[in-house]
Amino acid sequence: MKKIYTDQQLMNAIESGAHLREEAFYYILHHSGWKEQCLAFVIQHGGDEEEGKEVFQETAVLFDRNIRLKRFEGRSSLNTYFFSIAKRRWWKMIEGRKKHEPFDTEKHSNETVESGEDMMLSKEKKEYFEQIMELIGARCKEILRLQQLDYSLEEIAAQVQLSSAAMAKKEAYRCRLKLRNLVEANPFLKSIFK
Amino acid sequence: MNVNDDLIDKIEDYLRGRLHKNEAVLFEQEIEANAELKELVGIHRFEIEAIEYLVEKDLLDKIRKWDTEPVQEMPAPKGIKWLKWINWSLFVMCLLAGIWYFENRLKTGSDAEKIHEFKEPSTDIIPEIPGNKEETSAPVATEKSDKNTAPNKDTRPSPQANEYLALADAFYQQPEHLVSNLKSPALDVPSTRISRAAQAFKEGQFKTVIALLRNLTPEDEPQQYEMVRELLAHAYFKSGEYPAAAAVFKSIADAKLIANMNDRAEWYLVLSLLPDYKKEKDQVDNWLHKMVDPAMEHGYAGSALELQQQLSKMNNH
Repeated sequence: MKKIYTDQQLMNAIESGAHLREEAFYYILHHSGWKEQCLAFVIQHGGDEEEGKEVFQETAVLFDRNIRLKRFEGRSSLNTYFFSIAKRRWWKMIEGRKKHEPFDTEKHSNETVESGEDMMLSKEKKEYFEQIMELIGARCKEILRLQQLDYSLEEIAAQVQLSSAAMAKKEAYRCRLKLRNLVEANPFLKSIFK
Repeated sequence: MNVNDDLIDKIEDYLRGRLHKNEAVLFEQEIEANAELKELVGIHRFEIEAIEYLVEKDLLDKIRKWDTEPVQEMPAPKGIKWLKWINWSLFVMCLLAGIWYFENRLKTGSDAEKIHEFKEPSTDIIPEIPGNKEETSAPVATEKSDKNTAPNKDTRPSPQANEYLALADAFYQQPEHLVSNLKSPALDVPSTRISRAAQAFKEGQFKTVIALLRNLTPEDEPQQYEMVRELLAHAYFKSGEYPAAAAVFKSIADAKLIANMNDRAEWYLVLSLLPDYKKEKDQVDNWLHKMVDPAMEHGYAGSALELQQQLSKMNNH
């Protein structure tokens, strides 16, 4: 029998955060047909397979975030929602790619060129996140990640090999404080909030 | 400022969308008025974003890894067995209903054959632009010639009767460089249709613009067809022909050429639908919902959110 998820089951699994979320994304990747849909769209619109994969992967991340943060209100099927995000990712990617091509005055004379500031900022932020997370250490990273995904303290304790839920709570607090101190100690980061 | 655990918890709740709507609005006002609090919220937001980045990066790495591995069978998600039973039950029920209907129909004879014709609802979301084939040759349009043509049906609803029209007008801002972006050599040739339309637009002769551009084809202007169409759509909007403006903006949005232009077309499509909000409510709401979705990274997300809030206020009254 072909294994399928209903939209509600997919949403429940993603919102649950724990291993069910990963199973849901494994299903989306290999059994839902959504990846093939993205690849076909990208190839049909001038891209190649690698770009199609990239679009699918980035879409999956955005889709995950929106489901977990309850931004999806169920006005369309999950497949429609996923695919609409994918299409936009592809257009943005094409735009980004155009910006890196040698500038052809004739070709671009009539286009309104979008500012790349947002993209740059996002890249910059990612780099800061990477730096901070390196400083915070592997165990803290894992604890904060699991906590963000609503794992219970017992589950966190088991995953990072702590003796009890109470220890996990204490450790999670310590990691969060460590992260805050790193953020606060960075003058550049402070300046961007002002 | 006294930074205690209660304040930290409140910031966390606010950033994670756990505060009640009214409480969140009050807190936002507090943040705006207090620079120190604003900085603190900024730091917390950054922390949450950093943790969210961990979650997303982990998922991305896993998907990339799974994509290179051989596909494995998965256990059926919980509930699938029940779903299977429900499907079977539905099938049996449909079968029984079919048998019952067939038997009943045989009994009741010809009366049962009076089946009402089911008319499918139209899938046309936006009415077509009323075309005027006589204008295909695009005569030199002047104020005078406009007056001589058959009077255009004024589709603009009465401002007194339509507060949504006022809202559309309030949110409408003519995009910068709408005319100056048309920089093709055509503009340097005064006799071309586009140069005349651009000039007419500048002079506020929107009906002239419509007459000149409504029948333009991609073959007439292959290089900047969508931009010319954008000018036409704005001319429709400015002369109060909102359904026609909506139709053109939608065709630009559907063409999906440049994300930037697409976002712009979607936004003005919403504004063109707005005067007839009572009829187009579903469309307007759906477009706005899509535009404010952070995943869409829509260029008009801020304006869309503002409009959404205004509409919500008006609807609540």
